[in-house]
Amino acid sequence: MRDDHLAQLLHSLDHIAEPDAVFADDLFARLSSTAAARARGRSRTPFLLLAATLMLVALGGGMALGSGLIKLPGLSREPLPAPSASATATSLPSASVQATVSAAVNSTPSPIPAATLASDQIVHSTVDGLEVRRSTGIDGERLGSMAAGMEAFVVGGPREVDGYNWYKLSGLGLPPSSGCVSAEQTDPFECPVWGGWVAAGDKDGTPWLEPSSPDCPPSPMNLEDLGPGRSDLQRLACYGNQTITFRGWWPKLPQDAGLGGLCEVSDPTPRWLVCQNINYNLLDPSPSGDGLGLLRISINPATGVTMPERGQWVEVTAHLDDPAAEQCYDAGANYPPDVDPGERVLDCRGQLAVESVKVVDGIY
Amino acid sequence: MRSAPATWGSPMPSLTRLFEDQLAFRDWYDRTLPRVYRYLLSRCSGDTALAEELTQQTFVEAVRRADRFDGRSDVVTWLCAIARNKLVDHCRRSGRDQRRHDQLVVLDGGGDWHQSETRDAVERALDRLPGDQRLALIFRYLDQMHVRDVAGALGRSESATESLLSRAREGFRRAYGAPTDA
Repeated sequence: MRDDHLAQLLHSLDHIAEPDAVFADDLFARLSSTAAARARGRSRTPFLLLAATLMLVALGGGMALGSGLIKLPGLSREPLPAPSASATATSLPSASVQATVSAAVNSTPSPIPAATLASDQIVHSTVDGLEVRRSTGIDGERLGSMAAGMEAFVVGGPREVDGYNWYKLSGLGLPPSSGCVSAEQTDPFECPVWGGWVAAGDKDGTPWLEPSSPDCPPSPMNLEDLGPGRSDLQRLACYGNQTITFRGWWPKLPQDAGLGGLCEVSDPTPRWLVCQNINYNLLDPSPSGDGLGLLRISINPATGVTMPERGQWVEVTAHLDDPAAEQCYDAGANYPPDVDPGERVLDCRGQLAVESVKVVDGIY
Repeated sequence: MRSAPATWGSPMPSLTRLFEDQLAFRDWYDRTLPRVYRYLLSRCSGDTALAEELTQQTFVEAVRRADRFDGRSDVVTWLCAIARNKLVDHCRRSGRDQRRHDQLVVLDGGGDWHQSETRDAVERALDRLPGDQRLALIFRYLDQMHVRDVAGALGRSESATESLLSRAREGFRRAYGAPTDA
């Protein structure tokens, strides 16, 4: 039995049954109640914040803060980090993660030689339990730990603090259909959406982080090679801002096309980068795709690039790391509230900005 | 805030906005529910009760995590990714209790599931596999996921997943009664 026969057999499992109407209605009632409660919560949040602020002022919070007796999240007196080097972790680690400290960074600090890791590089941990912290230094809040071999993207650094060289790392992100929903599952490091500062090596020079050698298919290539199994950051590490060419299927809109969504970002923020999906500019590795391997492309209206009729193979020339990505720093309205500006910029840097498109007969 | 042009497959950069409009939310639900339910039913041995349970978990999670949906993929893709997580969680739980797994297999066959003899035979062969092998085959050959994504979904390394897939293919071929490649 060949693989394609196996796939054909398994596709016989595809089902056309409709969900039971009673079940559907019961579930909807439950969901709409939850959704309405969430919507009410969202609308109340600004007023709650305002009330909290006024209360602090009334209580003489300024004096307390000045004396260091009160420490409020988000009101740190430390200098603000650069956009690409700010803490991005979105959840607190579980107890089991906090307890994982085999490569603890807690001995007497002393200077070490400068590390040689570069930004936009994929690195991996050489040890189990390498601490990831919200800020640099051995007193930084522990967010989780990296297992040996676990890979990450270097966002920034080094910063020498407490005698160690610290790098800002980001999890490699979610490849399409990875199955991870958020970083707030049992262990934040189960899903590759995380960010924090990591010491690159011991004081004796033993490296805790080493560069990886990602598999980067050369351009030109097919979308199957560029896309669906790689995350945005893996592509960014491979190609930087160089121009790449790839072929993919420009699919027709299905009959049940929805009404679309909203982009909350106003000019001059680069909506075309932030709301990449708004026009459904998604390429498919093949015409028979089931929607699980789609890769989005972003078109800057200023380039005048237009897509051809759907339902054809296309060859796309594009680049990552468009300069406009830096403006995504201000695009907070379209991101979840706990996604910090640096993470927004990184997200935009990972988008494929189209330079040209042409219709072709098929893939390479 | 601006309106967006008509788009395909209900991309919602701000899914939480739907919650403020009951009609829009109902429309979204009506369009996505059947696809998620079918996705799960096809992967749950046709067990409608289990498919409903996992569908419910999927949608509850989606609503709870709506602000995590960034519009970068089709919303059904996103929902199916959540559903896949629920399926993996379910198999892990049931894998710790083989008796429960056996019960689930016995439950197989409700509704119109047995319309196809091929489907029936495929399902019987899959049921004879351990849960992780069964999921690996489904994710690789039915969902057409890359090995590295299957590895991510199952929490294994890529090489371990290759080995798992190899054992799963062989086990399926044996259970299905097909000749081996050798």
